[in-house]
Amino acid sequence: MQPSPLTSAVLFHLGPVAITRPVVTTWIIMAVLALVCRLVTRRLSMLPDGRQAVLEGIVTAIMGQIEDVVREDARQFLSLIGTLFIFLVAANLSGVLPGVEAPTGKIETPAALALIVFFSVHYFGIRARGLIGYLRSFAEPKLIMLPLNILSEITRTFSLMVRLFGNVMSGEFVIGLVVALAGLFVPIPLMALEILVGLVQAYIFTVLATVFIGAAVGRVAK
Amino acid sequence: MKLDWWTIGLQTINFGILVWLLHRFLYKPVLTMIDARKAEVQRQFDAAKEIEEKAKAQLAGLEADRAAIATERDATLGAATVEAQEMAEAGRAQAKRDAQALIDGTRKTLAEEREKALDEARRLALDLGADFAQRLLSEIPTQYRAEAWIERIEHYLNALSPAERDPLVRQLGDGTPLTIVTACTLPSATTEQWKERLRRSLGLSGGMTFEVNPDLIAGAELHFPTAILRFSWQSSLLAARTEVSADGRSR
Repeated sequence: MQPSPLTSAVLFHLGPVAITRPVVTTWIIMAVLALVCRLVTRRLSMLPDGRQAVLEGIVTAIMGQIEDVVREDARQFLSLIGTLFIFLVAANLSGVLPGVEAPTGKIETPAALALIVFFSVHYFGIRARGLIGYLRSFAEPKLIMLPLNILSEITRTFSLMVRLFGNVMSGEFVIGLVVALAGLFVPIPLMALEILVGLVQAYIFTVLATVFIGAAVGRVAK
Repeated sequence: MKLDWWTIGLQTINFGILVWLLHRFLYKPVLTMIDARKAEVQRQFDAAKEIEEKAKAQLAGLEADRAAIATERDATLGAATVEAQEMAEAGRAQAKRDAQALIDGTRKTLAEEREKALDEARRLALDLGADFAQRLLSEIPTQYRAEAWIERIEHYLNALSPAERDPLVRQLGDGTPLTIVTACTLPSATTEQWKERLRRSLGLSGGMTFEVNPDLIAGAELHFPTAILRFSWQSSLLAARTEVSADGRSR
C-alpha cells in the first residue's frame, strides 16, 4: 500500500520515539542556522563588514516590524518572533533543495509552531495584564463575546497551522506533479514561485503571531 | 490523515532549542553590538555637543572681544581726531603768530631800512647842499665872506653876558693867544680888521693866531684853551645833521 504523502516518513526510532524526516531536516536547519550565526557573530566590530551588516539588518528589521505592530519594546518578543521568522524562511525554502522536504510541508511542524504561538500569546498576555485582567479581556467588549473570543483563539491557531501547511504542501505537490509529468526544467518557474510563497507565508505567519501577541498584551485591538 | 504527536513534541522542543541557540548566537551579540554602537554614537554626539558648546562660548567670547576692539578703536579714533584737531588748531595759531611776527619783523626791518635810507638821503642832501654851497662860496671874494662872519661873531660876543664872557677871557689871561680858525686864508687887511674887532668885543690885549681848516666850509672858530666857539657852516651842518637824525629817530 502506498503511504500517504501527507504523513511524515519515519527514518529511525530512538526507543519508542519515531524520528521522522521533518525532525531530522529541522535538526539540520537548526545546526546550519546556529553555525552561521556563531561564525558571523564570533567577531563583531563597531564598523560592520558585509555579513555582520546583513545580520544586523535582519535583526533590526524584525525588531522594527515587531515594534510597528506591538508598540512596545521589541526585545522581549525578539527571540520568539525573530526565531519564528528565520526558521520559517529556512524551513520553507529548504523544500527547494533537491531531495529535501520542507518540514513545514508536513502538518506536524506547522501544528507545533501554532501551538507554540498559542501558548506564547497567553504567556505574554498574562505577563502583561495579570491572570484576571487577561481572562477579563475575553469578555470584552461585551460578556456575550466570551464564547466567540474563546473559539477564535482556537480557530485562529488552527487557521495559522492550516494556512502554512496548505501553502507549502500544495506547492511541493504541484512541483512534484509537474516534474513527474513535464520533465526536469519545466517546474523551475514554479520553484521560483514556491520561493516567493515560502517567504510570504513565513512573513504572514510571523506577522499574525505578532498581532496575536500584541492583542494579548493589550496594544492591538482583538 | 493522522497526526504524529511525537513529531509535534519533538518539533516543539526543537523550536525551543532554536530559540535558545539564536538568542545565544545571534540576538544577544548583535543587540549588544548595536547597543555599544549606539552608546558610542551617543558618546561622540555628546562630545561633539560639548565641543560645539565650547566653540559657541569661544565664538561669543571672540564676538565680545571684537566688539570691545571696535569700541576701543572708535574711542581711539575719536581721541586721535580731537588731538589732531587740537594740534591743527595749535599749528594754525602758531603759524599765524609766526606769520604775524614775520610780518611785524619785516615791517620793522623795512621801517628801519627806510629810516636809514631817509637818513642817508638827508645826509647826502646835506652833503650835496654843503658841496654846492662851498662851490658857490668859492666864487665870492674872501674879504666879503669874512665880513659877513666877523659881523656875526661880533654880534654873538657882544650879546654875551659878563658872566659868560669873563670865563672865556680869563682863559687867555696868562698870555695864551686866541686861535682863530677860518675856512680859507684871509687877506692881511682882513686879518688885522678881525683882530681889532675881536679885541674890542672881548676886551683882549693878548695875541691872536690864524689857522686855516677848509673843512669849515665857511666861517670861523674861536679856539680858547678849554673852549671853542664855532661860527662855521661845518658846525651848522653838523647841527642840522644832528637835528635831522634826532627828528628821524623821533618818528
